[in-house]
Amino acid sequence: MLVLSRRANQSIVIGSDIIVRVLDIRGDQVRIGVEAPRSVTVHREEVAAEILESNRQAADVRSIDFGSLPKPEK
Amino acid sequence: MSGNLAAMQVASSRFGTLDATEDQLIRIDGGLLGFPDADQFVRLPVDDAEGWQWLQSTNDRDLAFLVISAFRFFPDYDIELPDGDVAALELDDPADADVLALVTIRHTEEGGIASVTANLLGPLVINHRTGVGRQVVLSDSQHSTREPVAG
Repeated sequence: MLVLSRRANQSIVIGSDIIVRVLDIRGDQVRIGVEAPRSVTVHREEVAAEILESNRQAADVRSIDFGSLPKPEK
Repeated sequence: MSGNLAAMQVASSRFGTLDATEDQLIRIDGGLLGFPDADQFVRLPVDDAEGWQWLQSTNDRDLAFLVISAFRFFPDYDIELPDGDVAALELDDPADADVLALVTIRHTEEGGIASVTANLLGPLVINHRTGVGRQVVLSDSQHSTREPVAG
């Protein structure tokens, strides 16, 4: 992993069109701004990790009475 | 799309050998989070459960998910797709999108159903015109991976 030290209001550039800027540092929290093309998805790592864990749990389908599953509302 | 001609045979541990038609197949580019190799599925109805579908992997005979239509089970569900996903799915018309939620069933110690929850934070969005889908990571915090499915 490339490690860079940055202060508030300093940035790093990734490729030619992604800019990651340190906006504000307060205690142990850092506010970060990301400028990227609309085609680049940016999200918190925890969100992807949570969905991955949910997928793993969803893959464990046991034999049940499928007729007792909830019905759609419409 | 080529009507009802069998497009491929799919081996599955749950359903045996399936003759899948072209319009039952969906391709998930990049697979699902945690299942990067599972990039193609067959959609099957669930017997006795209206509105429910199986997604049986064509790559892994043991891998099948239960999914529901997010909008049918959650009429208030409202999402804004990231532009990158819209572009990748070639979704020129929102009406071409099928939005499915993967379901997790948790069990009681006796094997009964303890809870049924749907993942509304990472829906599976499919362009039913092209048969291509993606698991979309929604960044807003108002949706949950464990939304109870009401009966």
